[in-house]
Amino acid sequence: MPSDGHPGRMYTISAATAPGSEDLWAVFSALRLLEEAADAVGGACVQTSQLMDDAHWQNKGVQALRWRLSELHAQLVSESDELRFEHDSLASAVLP
Amino acid sequence: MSGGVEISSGGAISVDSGAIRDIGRRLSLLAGQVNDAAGMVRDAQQVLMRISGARGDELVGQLMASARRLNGTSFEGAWRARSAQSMADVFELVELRGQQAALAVTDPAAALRLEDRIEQLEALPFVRERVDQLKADWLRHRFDGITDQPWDDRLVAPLAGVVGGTMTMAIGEALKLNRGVLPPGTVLTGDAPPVTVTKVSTGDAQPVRNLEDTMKRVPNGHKGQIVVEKYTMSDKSVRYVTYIDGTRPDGGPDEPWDMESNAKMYLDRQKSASQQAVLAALAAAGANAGDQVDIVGYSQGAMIGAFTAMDSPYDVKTVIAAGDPVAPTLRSGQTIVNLANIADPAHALALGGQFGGTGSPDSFTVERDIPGRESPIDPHLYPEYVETARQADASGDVRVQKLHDTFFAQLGEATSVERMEFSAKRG
Repeated sequence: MPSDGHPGRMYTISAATAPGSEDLWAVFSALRLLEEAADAVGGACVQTSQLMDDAHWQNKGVQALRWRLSELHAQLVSESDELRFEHDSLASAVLP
Repeated sequence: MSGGVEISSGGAISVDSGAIRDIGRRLSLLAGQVNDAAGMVRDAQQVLMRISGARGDELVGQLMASARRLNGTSFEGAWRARSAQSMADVFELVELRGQQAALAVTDPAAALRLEDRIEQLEALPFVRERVDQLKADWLRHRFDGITDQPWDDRLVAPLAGVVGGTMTMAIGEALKLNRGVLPPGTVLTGDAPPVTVTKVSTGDAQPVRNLEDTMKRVPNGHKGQIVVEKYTMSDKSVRYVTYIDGTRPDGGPDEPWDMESNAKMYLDRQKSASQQAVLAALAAAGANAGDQVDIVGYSQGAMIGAFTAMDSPYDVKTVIAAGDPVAPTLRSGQTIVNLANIADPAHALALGGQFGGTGSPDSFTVERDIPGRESPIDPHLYPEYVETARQADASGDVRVQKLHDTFFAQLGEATSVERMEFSAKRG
């Protein structure tokens, strides 16, 4: 299930004191990984959209496949948004 | 079917196996990509957990949930990819068996070369069983709507029963005769009946734009039975499109588009006056042997198109047939677009057509159920086929779109189009 959007949600990853260099390294590593993951899922969104276009067959025998592609696309769009939000939240928590 | 059109790749094939296999392959790659993304999110979560105090953080939990959902999405994508591949295996086996049967007549060596792939597919789990099931379903439904007449009014209900019974008998006879499907290598035989063809009008035209436009250019209700359009392209090459009308039962004794021509072609597979008239009109329009001639036909005109595509001096690449009583066996480079209204008694004579489809992978069949039918002949009426063509154009189906992007787009590049209408009579 895709999670709902969380406008304004705050994470508590930033410590009350300034983070040490190891922690900062970990955060930057996590940011890079999240960015790559978001790019991959965003790319998958574009591909499912193309698949939906290419599978636009007006035929009941393959209707189920078309519906599943549409559902898959919606799931990926939601996950892409979620990953971008998580990335941006983490970035804003530690970056000035 | 409740309204709208249903488009298949012909026979029992919903979608050409190559097209659906491509979707499955791409879906499988995509599932792998999403799985990789899930791994990256999980790695990000692990990295963050190393930060002191972050173990119970909301973000860490959220990333764990994201990774889990992405894994689920990836799994589902992979599952759907396998389903698409399985469907492609079944359709490919049906297609190959059909191709093999056709090649066995014209090119036995090529037919033999297909055997390895057929055996590979047959060895896959459940593929043979699914093909058998597909065939059983196709046999059961190929005459849907024909024998159950639509009238429910008390006065006409008995008549509906009679007509339904008659239709059942007629189809029974057609099945016994087995003339609806034209096997590979079919040619019209016998002496060519004498015909005279006269050009009754000529003028400039715009290139034909879509399926509805092709159907509207069939000279139904015109003096002439044949229209030939000569397309001159920018490189000065020429190609032709001919539009052929259906049976004209009230045309009198000189009318070539009569039931005699229908019977000669359908039952005896002999040259008919109407088909000879089409060849004469093409020659009169300037078409030479080897020239590209594409054919649009309605009813008897579609049957003429089927025989002409299988055997003529011309290079027939595209056939658009409406209410065709026969199903031709075409070569892999020939595309057939079949408009077939549900319960059309003329189309029923084609006995459901080729189980494995025919022609190029771009070929397709458009079916439409006619709402509120009042008589058994309604689905065969010309205006109903114009409407079927219109709905096919508007369907958004990728196969129709490809026809627009190739066939119609190429014709649209013509620098001039000359339209000639021909009237034919016996003698």
